Order: sequence, then C-alpha cells, then structure tokens
Amino acid sequence: MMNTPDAASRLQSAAARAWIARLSALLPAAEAERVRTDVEAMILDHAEAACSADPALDPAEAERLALESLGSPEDMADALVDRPVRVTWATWRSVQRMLWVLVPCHVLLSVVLTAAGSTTPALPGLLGPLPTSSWAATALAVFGVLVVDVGLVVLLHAVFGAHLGRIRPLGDPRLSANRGDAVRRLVFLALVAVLVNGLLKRLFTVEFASGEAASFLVDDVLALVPWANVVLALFALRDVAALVRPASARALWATDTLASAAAAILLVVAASRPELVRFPADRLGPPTASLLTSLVTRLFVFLFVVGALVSALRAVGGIRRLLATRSA
Amino acid sequence: MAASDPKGRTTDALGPGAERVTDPRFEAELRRGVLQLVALFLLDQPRYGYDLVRSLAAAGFAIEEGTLYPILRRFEQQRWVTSSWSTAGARPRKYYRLSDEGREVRERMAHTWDHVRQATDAVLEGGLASEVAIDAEEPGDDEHS
Repeated sequence: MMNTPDAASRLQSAAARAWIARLSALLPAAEAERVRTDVEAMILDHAEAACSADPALDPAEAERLALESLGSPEDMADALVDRPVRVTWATWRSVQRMLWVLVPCHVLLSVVLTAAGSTTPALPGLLGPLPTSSWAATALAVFGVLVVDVGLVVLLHAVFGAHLGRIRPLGDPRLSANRGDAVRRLVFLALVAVLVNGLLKRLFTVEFASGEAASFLVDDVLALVPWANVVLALFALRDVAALVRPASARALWATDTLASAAAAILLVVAASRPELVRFPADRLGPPTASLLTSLVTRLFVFLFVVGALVSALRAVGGIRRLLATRSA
Repeated sequence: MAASDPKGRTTDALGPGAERVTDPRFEAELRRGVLQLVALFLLDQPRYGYDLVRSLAAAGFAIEEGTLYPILRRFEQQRWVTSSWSTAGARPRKYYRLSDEGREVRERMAHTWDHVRQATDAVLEGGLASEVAIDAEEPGDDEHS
C-alpha cells in the first residue's frame, strides 16, 4: 500500500475542481493537501458508483452529483478545523455574550479613570479616561470603546476559535458556596490583610550596602491601604455570608459582586495615581533611580489594570447572574 | 403500512389495535448520537469512504460523505483508525481500519451504550407498567370520548 497518491487531480469536471480548490483555500496549509486527496478520492468513488448504476450518466455529471453529498466547502472546512471559517449563529452568539460583558466593564473602568481625574491613559489606545469637553466627545469615546472591544472579541475568535469554549466564559465566574471553601478564602484574605497592613512597606524596600533601607512606595499609594482593607472586608463579608447562609446563592453573589466592583474601582484609582514608586536618586544615582522607577511603575500599572479588568468582569458577571436569577 | 400524522410522526401497524408511532426528528438525533459507535464497528475490516457510506446506509444509518469525512478525519487524528492508500484498482483508494486504540475506545463506547440502553429500558418499562396500572384502575374509560 502506498502512503499518498500523486498530487495530480483526476477530477473531470470543472465544478468538482473548483469545489476542491475552494476547500483547499479554506484549510490550513498543513491540512489542505491531505484533505484534498482524501476528498477527491471520495468524489471519484461516488461518481464511479453512480456511473456503474447508470451507464448513460456522464462522468462529469456524476462528479457534480457527488458534490451534492459533500455539502459546501465552507461547511466541510468548518467541520475539519477548530477555528470557525464562517461567522455562524454559534460564533455570533459567542461574540455577543463576550461583548455584553466586556463593553460594560471597559466603559466602567473608563468612567472610573475619568472620575479619578486621570489625564493619561492606563493602557494607551485601549483604556483611558473619557473626554469631558462635551457630551458629543464623551459619546464618541464610548462608541470608540465599543469598536475596540468588537475588534478584540473578533480577534480572539479568529485566533482561538473553538478553544474559546474551553476557557471559562466571560461573565460566568465560579464561586463555591461550600463552607470549607469559604473558610479557605477567609484564611487567604487574612493573609492578604497581614501583607497589606503589616508587610507592605517592608516588602517594597530597597536595602543599601551601608545597611540602610528605604521604601520606594510613595505616600499616595500607602494612603490607599485603608481602602484596600475595605475591599478585603467586603470579600470577607461574602465568605461570612457563605458560612452563615450557605444555601443563599443570591446573598453570596450580591456580596461578591459588590466586593469585585469595589476592587475594580480601587485598582483603577491606584493605577491612575500620578506617582506610584520613587527610588532614591541620592543613593542610586539619577539614571538608575529613574530607570527603576519607570520599570516598576509600568509593572504596577499593568498589574493594577489587569486586576481591575478581572474584578470588573467578575462584577458584571455577578450582576448578570443576579438579574438572571431574579425571576427564578 | 406506514402512515404519518400531521406532526410527521410515522405509524407502523403491528397488528390489530396495536400502533407504534415514531418521531423522525428524535430518531435522527438518536442515530446521530450512535453513529460514531456504529462506524467504529464497521471499520473492523478495511473500508474506503464511499464503501463505509453504503454500509452505514444498509445498516439504517444514512449519512452523506460531507458528514462522514470529518468523522473519519477525527478518528485518524485521535489514532482510532489507521489509513493507507491502495493502488490495487484503477486508481488509488484510501482504506480506513480500526486500530488497537480504536478497539479499546469502541469497547468503552459499547459499554456506555449498553449502560444507557438499560437505564432507559428500566424507565420505559416502569412507565409502561404504571400506565397499564392506571388503565386498569379506571374501568369504563372510553378513549374515544
């Protein structure tokens, strides 16, 4: 037995050759040749059987009839590859579901940045404060948010395709109401509280050869610690609710939504501070201090923005879940 | 003789007073669900694509090549079947055959099918028995009234 037949097409009809060419064009290069030879063989087998049953049948016509049993090349390509070749109803539903979550989150974060008085974008081109010079400018900026998010979601579907279903759907976060999990979450929150209140300055301290140490977190950031405690307390309230009334999913989700929204706002406010860290220039030298300040600031902003986005997505997901179960 | 009602359900007369109505849509869904299992059984011997289509049709699982080929391709990718080209005839033909791994998968699927079938039969038999009991408890019911 041979591994693969020669590449020359044996199809007699132009319609069949065009069908195969269209299918090959829709498939990834690694798949195209193999599929082409397989499907061509199936067309020829079907045509041969049809001609055997009806000797008067023209071979090219027999191939055309075989194409009817294959369906469209787009349908075949969709079935063969993980990524959707066309935007079908399933793809459109997935896009809509993501947009219903992503756009409110994006607008919410932009509003928070605007309210916090930020003048620079948190993520240039993607996330920044809304213009307030006029209602038209604000409305256009919100429209711009929608356009960016549509592009992002379409890009995600194009790149990840069917694998998107394996990623936890946006706006459908998981939250266990199990008492054991609530206790574990409370312990984790307690550790975070100890870290934030007791160890924050010590963690973000740079030590010198002389033995001296200096914290590089600015006072503006340290002033947010009480607000971080409020957010931690809201998350703790959620887990206390789970311990006291484990059967009440709505109470659990309501407190989680509130805590997530508070976390998103806090993280956006933190990201919009004019200064987050300051390395001592007198000790490190202005170039080194400036470089370190710039690098660490960018890292912090990135973490704050990602954290804010995740929190906002969770909050919006929680609101949707509460609305959906309201009538239940 | 089979007839169909306004909802498209077919009726097979089994004898005087005995009618069994089937639902074509539900039947199609069921057949789709077991198609892979049936195909794996038929691939115990080497078959080429169109041959498998005809064998499935003969077994009551009418399917088009456009539906079968992606299934065969997936079987290949998951190594449940092996394939090779034969030039014994006038032109090359690709034959598919169940692999050892495919055999194991087929056995698991067959056991799963058995399990589901038994569970379904148990529910149906219980349901039919209670229908008979209800009918028996209500003497004088006239089904045509």
